[in-house]
Amino acid sequence: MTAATVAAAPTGAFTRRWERLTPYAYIAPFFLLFLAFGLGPLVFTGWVSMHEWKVLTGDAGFVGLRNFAGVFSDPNFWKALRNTFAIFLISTIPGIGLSLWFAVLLNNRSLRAQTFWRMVLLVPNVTPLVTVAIVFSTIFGRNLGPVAWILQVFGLPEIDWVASAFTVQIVVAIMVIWRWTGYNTLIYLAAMQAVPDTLYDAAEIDGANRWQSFLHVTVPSIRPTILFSVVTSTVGGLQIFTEPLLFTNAVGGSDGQGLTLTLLLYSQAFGSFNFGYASAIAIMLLFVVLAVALLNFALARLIRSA
Amino acid sequence: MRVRSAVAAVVAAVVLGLTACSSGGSSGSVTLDYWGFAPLPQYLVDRYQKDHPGVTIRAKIGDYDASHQTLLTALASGGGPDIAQVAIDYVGEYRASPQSFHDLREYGAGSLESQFVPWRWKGGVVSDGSILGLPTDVGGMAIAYRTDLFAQAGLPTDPAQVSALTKTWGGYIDLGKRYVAATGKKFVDSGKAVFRAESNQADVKYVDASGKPVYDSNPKLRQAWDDGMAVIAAGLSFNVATYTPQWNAAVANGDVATLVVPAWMLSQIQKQAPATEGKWNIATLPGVVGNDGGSFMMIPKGAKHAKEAYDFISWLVAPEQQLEVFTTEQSFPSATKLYTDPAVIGLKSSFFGNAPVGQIYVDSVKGLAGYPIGAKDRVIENKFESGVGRVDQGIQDPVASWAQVMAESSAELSR
Repeated sequence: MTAATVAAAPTGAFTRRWERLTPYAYIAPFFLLFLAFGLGPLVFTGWVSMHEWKVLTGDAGFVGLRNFAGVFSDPNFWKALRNTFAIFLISTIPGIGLSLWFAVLLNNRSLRAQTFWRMVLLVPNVTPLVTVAIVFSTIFGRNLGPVAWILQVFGLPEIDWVASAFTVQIVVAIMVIWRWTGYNTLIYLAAMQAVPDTLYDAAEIDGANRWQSFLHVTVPSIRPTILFSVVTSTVGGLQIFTEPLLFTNAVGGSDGQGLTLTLLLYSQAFGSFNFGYASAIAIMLLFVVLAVALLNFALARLIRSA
Repeated sequence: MRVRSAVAAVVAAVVLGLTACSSGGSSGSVTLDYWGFAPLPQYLVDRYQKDHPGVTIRAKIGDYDASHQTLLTALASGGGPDIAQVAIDYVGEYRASPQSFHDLREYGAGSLESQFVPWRWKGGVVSDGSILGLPTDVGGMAIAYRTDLFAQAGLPTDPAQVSALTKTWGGYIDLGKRYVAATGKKFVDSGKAVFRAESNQADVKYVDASGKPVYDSNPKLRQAWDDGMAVIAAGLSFNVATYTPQWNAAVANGDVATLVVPAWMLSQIQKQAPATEGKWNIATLPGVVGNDGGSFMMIPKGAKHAKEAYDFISWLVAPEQQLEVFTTEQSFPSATKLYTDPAVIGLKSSFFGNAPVGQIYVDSVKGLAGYPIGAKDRVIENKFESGVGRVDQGIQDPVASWAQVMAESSAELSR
């Protein structure tokens, strides 16, 4: 570094300016791509959201904030927001608990066939989502499939799983948990294996039982990892789309029982071809994501300082 | 399924966009890109290519919704194939943008009008007289019923007697009540099936001839809604959606005694419930006339070989080819000349108790008046069908459901 500056010093103003600009040239590709595929579309979406925009005829005139007013007064938007968060909560909380439990089970040194169990856990994650959704639709049929059969055996009434928002949320959450538990388990397992044994030994000497040492040694030690999985679950949860679409239909069911924010966006853009309105939903989704990101950030600081 | 198809659609759009650049060759060799959702019979393609050296038909067949979405986005960017197959349910969106398509009068399509059943032809013609699409098949309607289940319920099983009882939708519902009272089982797959069939019989549906929305005041549409509600209120509906595993099982297990069947659904039933062979028969639809389905062949403005494309589609929809497609695929022709052809009119189905399906389905499309098609018909129809579905699921009463349909439809129209 010093040698280069020394050598470059006498060669004049042009080279010096060039050297000052070089770093920008190195980082330019990222920013150009970001401009083309990130910021550009974002700004364009904002522009479209303030127009009535038909798919074939295109711009049908500036309408100001009309689309946003429409979104605010659209019961389906609030329904979608509610569903999205409900699915997020009832999939993330039990999902993380289950992952922690599996990770503890796998963290046992005397466990046989460790690689096998780890691979088994990852299988749901690599199963194509469409297959998952179709299989679960068959499992949770009203009058057909294993769940209906079990209810029948116990003399319980049929449940029309797609009829109420709550049951749709349950089924979708089960799909999410089934898919992501193994993945989170492996991440927790990796973190747990980095926890020094001396801590457990010390806890044991202090008379802690297994539950206490899990609560006071394991969890605090892997806190950053848990935070990481909460953040990734948030990202996935706000984008939940394929599962409700395939379990209900392209508009989230007869009463939007499975309508999520991304599904509403999709159905307005590619079902009804209201591009302006769909863009307004997209911008709203951006603000929702920003709010959740801030919440995550605050949570992360809280945990780090704890 | 839909997402995979949406992804496939995007991939297809990209791939087609790339290949389109390289297919603009000249020197007598022409490649026609065909985008559709129903398989294009290969033997017809082969024969056409053999008779027209230098012409190659390159068909891309996608899922139903995905293929229409791909086409719309391609048209929006000024691209698109040489030939687009557009379903009747989707045609409104495309008719709203005539400038995206060739007016087929340029190539002499005006002279073809007399060959087709009038209501079907009108679907491809817009208000200024431009012909945007040539009609393919029709989907006549009838009632399929299980003779064995009817017999168990003490109902008549002879098609003439059943048809006499189902002359009106009210008669159909009364018959259903007798069946349910006698057996405790369900009569029809869904309230939506009745709403859909009856709303398609009207000469006005969601918009009037000037394109003004009338979904909130059209008495015929309201009647279809009310009859759908009556089916549900009387406990006739099994509440299963078409083409779901539950529907397939319901048909195979005899959970429902009747189905409101478009002509093209007959082969579905044969495939899904092979064990029910011979246990069915076919009665005429209440009100006789009806249609569900069919598509148009359209030529986007971005087509590179519009003339050659027209030559192909006008050949494809000509009565001779329609007759061939009918005999191999059982899709009913829209060419009126064939309505007296013994091969069509004389068709009987052994699976459906030797019913004269040719005669019944031809009768159901011959007398149809057809309704004006609006740009948002499909979207509004989804709202209505969801509304019937809510009542069928028992989560809303008819009054609240109707109010929600009205609110959601007018919101859609304002966007």
